[in-house]
Parts: sequence; C-alpha cells; structure tokens
Amino acid sequence: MMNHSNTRVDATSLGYIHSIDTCGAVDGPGLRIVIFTAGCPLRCLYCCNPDCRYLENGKLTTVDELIDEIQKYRSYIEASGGGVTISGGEPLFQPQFVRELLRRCKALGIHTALDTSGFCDLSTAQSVLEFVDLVLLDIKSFEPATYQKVTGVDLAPTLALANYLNQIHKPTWIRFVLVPELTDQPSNIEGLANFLAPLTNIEKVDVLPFHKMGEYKWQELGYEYTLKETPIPTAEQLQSAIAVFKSRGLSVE
Amino acid sequence: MTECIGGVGEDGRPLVTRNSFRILQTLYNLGSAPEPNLTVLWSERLPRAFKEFCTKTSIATSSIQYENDDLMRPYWGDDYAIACCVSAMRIGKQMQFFGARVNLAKCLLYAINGGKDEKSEEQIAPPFAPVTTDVLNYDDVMAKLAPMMAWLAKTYINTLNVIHSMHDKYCYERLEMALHDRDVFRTMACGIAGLSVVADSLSAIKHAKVSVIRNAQGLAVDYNIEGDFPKYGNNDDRADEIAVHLVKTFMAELRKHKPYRNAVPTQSVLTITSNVVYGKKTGSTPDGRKAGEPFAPGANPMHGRDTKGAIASLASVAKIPYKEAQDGISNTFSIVPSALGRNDRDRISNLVGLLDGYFRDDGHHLNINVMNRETLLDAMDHPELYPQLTIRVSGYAVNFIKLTHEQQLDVIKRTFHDRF
Repeated sequence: MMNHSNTRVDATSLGYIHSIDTCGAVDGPGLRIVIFTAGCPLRCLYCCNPDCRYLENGKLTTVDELIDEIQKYRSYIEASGGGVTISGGEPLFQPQFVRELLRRCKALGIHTALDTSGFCDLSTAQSVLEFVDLVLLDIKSFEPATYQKVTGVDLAPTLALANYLNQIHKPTWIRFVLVPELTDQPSNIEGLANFLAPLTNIEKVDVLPFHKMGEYKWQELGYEYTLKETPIPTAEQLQSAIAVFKSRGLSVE
Repeated sequence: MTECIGGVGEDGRPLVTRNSFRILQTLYNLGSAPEPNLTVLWSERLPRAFKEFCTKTSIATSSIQYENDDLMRPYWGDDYAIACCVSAMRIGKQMQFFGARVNLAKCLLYAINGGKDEKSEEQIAPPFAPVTTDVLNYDDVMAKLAPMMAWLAKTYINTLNVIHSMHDKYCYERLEMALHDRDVFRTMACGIAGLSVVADSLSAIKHAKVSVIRNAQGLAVDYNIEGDFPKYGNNDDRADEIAVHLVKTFMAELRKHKPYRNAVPTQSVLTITSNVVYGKKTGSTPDGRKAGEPFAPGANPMHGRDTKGAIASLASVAKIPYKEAQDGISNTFSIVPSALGRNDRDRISNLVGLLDGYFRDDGHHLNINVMNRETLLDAMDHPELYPQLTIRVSGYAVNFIKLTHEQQLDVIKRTFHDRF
C-alpha cells in the first residue's frame, strides 16, 4: 500500500471523492445521494470499483462543496425518506473527512448511512459512527482464510466492528457477496449466519449475487481479473444461501 | 386520445375516486396500449395509496405519463385536461393551433454559417455574417445566434398563420368547436427540438476549446473539441442556465409576433420521436454530436452525458421554466427495476419519492419506463413476441415494435440509469 498521508492537506475539510450517484435506491432507505470516496485498503477479487483503490483515483473535494451538492436534492431526499450514503472505496480510509461530512449532514437533519468493510481500527470507526444512522457492513466472508483470499486483508477488525455495532445498538444491514467457488462453501455461509443470528441490531442481510459488470474496469486499468471463469450464481444457489440466513431468523432480501 | 386521472381541486380535494383506480387497472386487465394516453395529474396531496398504485402500475406496464398538477393548477384551474401530448387546456374554453416544433440545433448551425444550410449548402436564412474564426468564441456565437433565433421565430409564426388560416378556410373543424364556449382562448402552440444539443454546444464553446472544421466551400461542417465542459443533465448551473436562457429567449421572440386569430403564442420542449428525424437532417454540432445522430428527445439531456445519475438529470430538466413553455416540457425517464430498489415495496415507494421530488422542484412532465435493456433488444429481434410492448416517448405512448429500427436503437441507447 502506498503511503498517501503527506498528500492530505487538511484531512477534515478536504477529501478524495471518486464520484456521486444521485439516484441510489439500494444503499439504505429511500432515494439516496451516494458519495463514493476514493482509496481502499482491500483488494477484493470481485471488486466492481477497482478505479477507487487509491486516493489519487479521486478528486480533491471540500466538505462544503459536497454539502452544497447534497442540498440540491433535498426535495427528493425528504419526499422519499432517503438520505446520504457514504460508500467507496472505503470511507473509513479518510475518517476525519468522512466524519465531518456526516456531522454536517446530521446538522441538516439528513439521514446518513455508511457503507464499509469495517477494516480499520475500532477507535477510528467509533469516531465516525457518532454521526451515522445506519451502517451497511460488508462481511465478505466468515472464514478468515477465505476472507484473506477474497480481500487481501484480515477479517478480525470487521467482526470486532460488527460486535461493537451490536453493543451500541446501531442499526446495521449486512452485505454478503455470493461468489461461486469462492465464498459459497456451506461452512462459510453457515458460519456467518451463526455469527449474525444473536446480534440484535441487524435489520437485514443482503445476499448479493456476484456479477462481472466491473470486469471491463480491471482491463482498462491493466489489473488482472482472476474471476474471468467464475460463473455468476444460479437462482438456486442464491436461494439456498438466503435460506441459510433465514433459518437463523435473519431478515433477508 | 389523452385521458387524465387524478389531480387536486382548487378547494384542496384530491380528485381521485374508485374510477381513477379502475382506469389504471385496465392496463392489467386489457394489457397496455398506445391509446388512451394515460396521464396522471400528480400532486403531493394525492392520497398515498393512489400514488403507490400509480407507480406500481408504471413499474408493471411503463404506460403512464405524469404531469405536475400543483404547477399547472394556478394557470388552468382544476377543470383542465391534457390535449395533444402534454399540453394543459381548460375544458371547453380553449383550443390550440398545433405548431409542431422548430430545430434549434439547425438554427445554431445557421448562425455559425451565416444562414447557409450545412448539408445542402443553400442560403436558407438571410445572409447574416457567419463566424469567421477558427476557434468558436462564446460571445461571438451568442451575438450571431440571437438574430437567427429572431428570424426563425418570425418565419415560424408566419408559416403557422398561413397553415391555420388555410386550414380554417378549407377544413374548419365545426364539430369540435360545437363543444366549446362562444369565446375560445386560442394558443399558437410552437415548440423547439434539440434543446440539449444547443445547450451543450454553447457550454462547450464557453468552457472548452471548439475549433471549426470547414469544407472546400468554407462552410463549418464539423467541430473539434479540446477539454471538458459542463453538460446539461448534471444539475450544473453552468450548463443548465444556458438551456433556460435558450427557452426564455425563443419564447420572447415568439411573443413579438401576432398569431392568427389573436392566439397567444406558447411553446413546448417536446419532440415525440422526431428527435431522430431532426438529428438525421442536421450536421455535426459543437457539442460533439456527429452529423445524422439523433437529438435527445424533448427536454431530455443527451444520453450518455450524465455522470451523476438519474436524479441530477431530472433536476436539470426541472429548471426549465414552465412559464416560458406552457405547452409542456417533456422528459422521458427510463430505468431498470433493479435500480429502483431491492424489492417491489421499495421500488414502488422510491418511485413515489422520485415523482414527489421532481414535481416539488417544479418539473412539469415525466414519462416513466421501467424495463430491462434485454427486453428491448429481444423485442427488436422478435417483434412477434411483443405485440403490446408499449413505451413512452416524449408525451405519448407507442408500440415499440412499430418504431423504425433507428428509433428502436435510439430508445435503447438512451441512458438506462443502470448502476453496477
């Protein structure tokens, strides 16, 4: 991982933004302005935004600019019961900036969601969570070896964050990407379901079918895409994974 | 035939009855059809259950257009209906002299070429001074566009006056008029095509470097753009204000002339499917659109130029002032179901939120198509399997399979706002 710390001029009011989607309909309740931050310490094999890996993939943007932009969509946010979702990249890679952005949203009465892999120090996440209404926690696998293989990093911080979110009763949606031949072993899925079952803050689990819509970006960037031959899950595979979570009393869509 | 459903009375009563639901239910019972053109007059104050039934039906059939009752009621009261495609009119008290539309993109090219047509090379407009520089200068082009728009408006009204006086003389529609009051309020319903092409062209000239490529006769026939520029459809005032300026300017020019029978001039930003034909007949434009390529339909931003998603695109269109385009500002929104929400409940509710948001911000009209690209591609190959595939195109519904191959491709090419 490159060290970008010296490129950050003012980490609170300035951050690197990859893009904005004004019509987010699946990243939290209602219609959401989704802000994709740049920079991510994970190297997920199926990543559909590999163009968000480095801070330099983004554009240096001020919190003020983003708040001005968000304000333009108040009618849609209010009418739909929506809000703002910070995604990425990994938002917690720029914690001070994201914290300030979320703080300003909350000050305006806007619902906030944070889409994170949870890969960071718990203390870093804690500082941001104060201004987060909903966490979208991506648990990309439950077995540490598989997690390492999929993401290139350690699973432990993510599970620590999941436990902490439960302690503080923070509403959380879990996201799990079902990749045939990679994350679909029954032990992996059952392990995750067993881990989540006793947590009382989990509102739902999204089982997302692996897709290759981001593959062209890997080619454009000159990265090697190792899942070329991996099939997308069949409807039966998806349903059987969903059934595992449901059997533990979890709400799944 | 256009059928209006919903709306709210001037006394605040939602004009929704069981029949409103029944009319929408026909789309399930009988399947979708191009006619009647089902138009929901949307208000934030419509009952929630009705709003949800509307969006549920839109998701299932893509056969409803929506118009902003809260925006139109102050102009037309609560006893109006939609005539033509999207134009509101007081029932029994109004008529419009239909005026189709003029090609604003061609007008810009005439301004650059001193009134000569970039394709036929003939002198069509008066020989105003052409642009002589190699790099287009914003102030220079604007100074030349203004008199060209003035000429176009004058020619347009004059032509419509001839058409409608001859129509009345030889084919007076006495039956229709028998249903009207004695004193009829007439509008001369003008319109413009190519709004987003001209807005983006002017934005490119202003914010990037656009050089002219001339042919042997010295006519500008193509353009080379260096650098990026703000584009209409991204909720960026730098581009959107140019679009607003064009609509206001052309309306002001139309108002300078006296239409037949003292009609009041109005305009629409609406193309139906003519955006394809107009594009075919129009040379390359300074926004990077190549000769022959379709325009965006109605007031839509050009496809593929929005980078901030569907709602930024809606927000740009909502800035076009209804006051200056009272025959309607048509916007066609196509989306695949998965981009509206994870499940039916979310999709229905998010679409209600989208309509409430668009109309709260003074958007005038929205066609909603909820479909998959695959559906359309398959329909092109197997029209016999899709006899009823109805899509909404700028203010009315058509059978997809009856469109020409080019129009079908245009519909498919339009931004589907599919995010992965």
